[in-house]
Amino acid sequence: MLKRLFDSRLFLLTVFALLLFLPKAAKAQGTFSKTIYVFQGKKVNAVTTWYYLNCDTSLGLGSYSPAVEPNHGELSYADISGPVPGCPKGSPSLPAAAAYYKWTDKTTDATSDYFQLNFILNGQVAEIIDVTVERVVMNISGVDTLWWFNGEQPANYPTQAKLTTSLNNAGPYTWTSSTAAGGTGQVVFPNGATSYTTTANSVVVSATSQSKNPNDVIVNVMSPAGMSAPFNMTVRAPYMLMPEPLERCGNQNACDDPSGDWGYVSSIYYSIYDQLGTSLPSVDIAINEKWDSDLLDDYPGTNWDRGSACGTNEEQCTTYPPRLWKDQIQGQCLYKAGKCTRKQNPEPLHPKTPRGDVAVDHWEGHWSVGSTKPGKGVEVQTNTWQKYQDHARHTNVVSPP
Amino acid sequence: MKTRKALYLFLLTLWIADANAIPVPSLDLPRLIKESDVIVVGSAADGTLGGQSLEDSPDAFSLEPERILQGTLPNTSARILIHKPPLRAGNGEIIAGQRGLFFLKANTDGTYSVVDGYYPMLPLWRHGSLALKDSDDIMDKVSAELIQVLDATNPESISDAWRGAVYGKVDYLVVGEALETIPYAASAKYCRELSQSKQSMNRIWANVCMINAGDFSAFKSIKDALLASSNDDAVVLLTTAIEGHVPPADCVPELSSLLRSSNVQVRRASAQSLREIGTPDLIEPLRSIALNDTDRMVRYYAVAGLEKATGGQEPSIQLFSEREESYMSKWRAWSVPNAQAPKIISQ
Repeated sequence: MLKRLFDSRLFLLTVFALLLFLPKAAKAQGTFSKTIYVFQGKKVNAVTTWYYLNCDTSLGLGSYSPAVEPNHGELSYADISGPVPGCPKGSPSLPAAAAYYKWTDKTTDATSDYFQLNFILNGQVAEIIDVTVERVVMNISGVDTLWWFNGEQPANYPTQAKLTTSLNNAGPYTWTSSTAAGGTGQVVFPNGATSYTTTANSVVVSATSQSKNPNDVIVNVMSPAGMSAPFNMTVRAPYMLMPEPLERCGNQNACDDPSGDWGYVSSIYYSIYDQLGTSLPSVDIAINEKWDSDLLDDYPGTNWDRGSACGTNEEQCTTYPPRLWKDQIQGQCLYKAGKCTRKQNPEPLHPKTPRGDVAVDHWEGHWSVGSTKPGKGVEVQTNTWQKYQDHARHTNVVSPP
Repeated sequence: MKTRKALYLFLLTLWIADANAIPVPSLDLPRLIKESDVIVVGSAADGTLGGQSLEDSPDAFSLEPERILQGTLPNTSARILIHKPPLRAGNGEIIAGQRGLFFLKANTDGTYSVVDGYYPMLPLWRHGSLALKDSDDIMDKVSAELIQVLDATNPESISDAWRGAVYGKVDYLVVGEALETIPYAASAKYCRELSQSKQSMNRIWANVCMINAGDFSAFKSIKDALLASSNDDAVVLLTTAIEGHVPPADCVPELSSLLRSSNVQVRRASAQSLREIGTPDLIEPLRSIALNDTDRMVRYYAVAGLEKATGGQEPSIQLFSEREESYMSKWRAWSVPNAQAPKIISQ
């Protein structure tokens, strides 16, 4: 009986110990997965692993042991050294284990392979490494950043790109584009679709949707000879107007100057940023404004008027510097100075210090980037144009809208 | 003459009828130079020409030439009549006493018209402390004139009537922007000379010119000035210049220091530049300084830079806005590779 109990206790202890230690052992094993793209017969680095205390101190060299051998290639190993990934520039090279893969099978039509390595430290499996191998026969090259302006094609900002494969005379080529998980960027081919076949080894892609992350557009091409390595692209788009405060404007983004013609001229400064937080390149870009309401009076009986939105008259709308451009708002034609034939109500004033608060009129509207035509392009801001007797401002600013 | 006046009055009624609210086109100095028959350094005089009042020509002014940089005038010491289109927007208003660089086209009747109604002239000081060098190249000459404006050691710049009486402060921006459009081969020597100035603001202006051409060689000399900078025109133009170019990696220490600037635009430009550089040594300054900034854009650049430097995915502004807390938690809790614990890393 005691023996049975002892045996039973021993059994329970053994089970307990297993329960206690097995999960720990499993937990100690990290896993790492990656996909590599290889050309037949060419040896490539498949994975490199460091075991270290800090960026300056190695804890020794581990080694690899194949858990699952590849079907179509061969593995080889070497001890190398290099800075630990993520360590500061100038960090010393520390020893690391490296594994290499070479696709050697010339008899198969297979395009992918797989192998698994155990990274061994002190005789224990410290990390399990899964490597998926994709056999490719060509690379894609071309511009990897496009712009999207909601269908507009402004100068200086490429919305299309010509992509070329490294393998010529191997058509037909079937091109496909897709969006990476979690992304939103998209490009299409000349047929407007995400798949297209060409006889030549090049194709033109057009951006149709902006990226949510860099490189979230993936283009592949397949030919009878095989597939390409994926080509990642980013589609940038204007996103918002950033106010640019200036000391001469009292640390606001609006300055007021006296005008002999208009009483005042107010300048409101902005820079245009894309969806990834970068100011647009320093080449001029088409901007337009569109009035979304009638001119609404604030001052009883006012006869102040409003010019056309930029772009309504092509002469008045062109391209502008994306950084530190200014919207300039004139007061009203000065009767006192003999500049116009009717008396204004109220007569515009030079900017007062502090600025006056006599509102005259206002209207609603929005700004778009990528076209000189009102409302075309990507909308980047809505605001109210508010005119006072001695200055003007953008109010109720919402950017991005 | 009467025909021209009638034409201008007609244009006046067309353009001046409604008050505009339009963006101002950019300045293109090489185009201005190319389209000018005559480029004159001079001062706008009062509203008379040869004793005759110009009151009935509201869109004309007389100019007293000092010297000619391009083209010829029949009489280099006599006033000339300049027509300009009615002010639509921009810096087109000319007042008596205003000194500048005037870009003019010759009319058949002996008068002149400004080439660009938005930019009829660029402001100049009467004397500069930088040595002007003789040159036959018009870009070189114009660069030399403009760089004087950015040389704030010039005492006259403080008391200039135009600056004080009319605009409160000169729109240096237009000068900085003008220099930006000049090929760097013409402006480089003047900008580099200005970068040796003892005045920190002069060095900032020099860096605006240089960095716009991708030249960061004098950037380290303005770190201290930028740490405590205001939104001076020079600083604002400098931050936009920095944002337009990826600094070399050896600027990381200075850019890291500037994450503590009192000027949010400087902090944004620094964080954005560090993000673009993308090397591992900017991880710590982005984590410890920029990630805790009060400005959301600085925090965004910190997160994007940290993701980039560690091989992660940089989020868009929208994605960051939607998941800011998640990103912040991730990076605040992130263990630096230098932590004293055994680690395995594969790539």
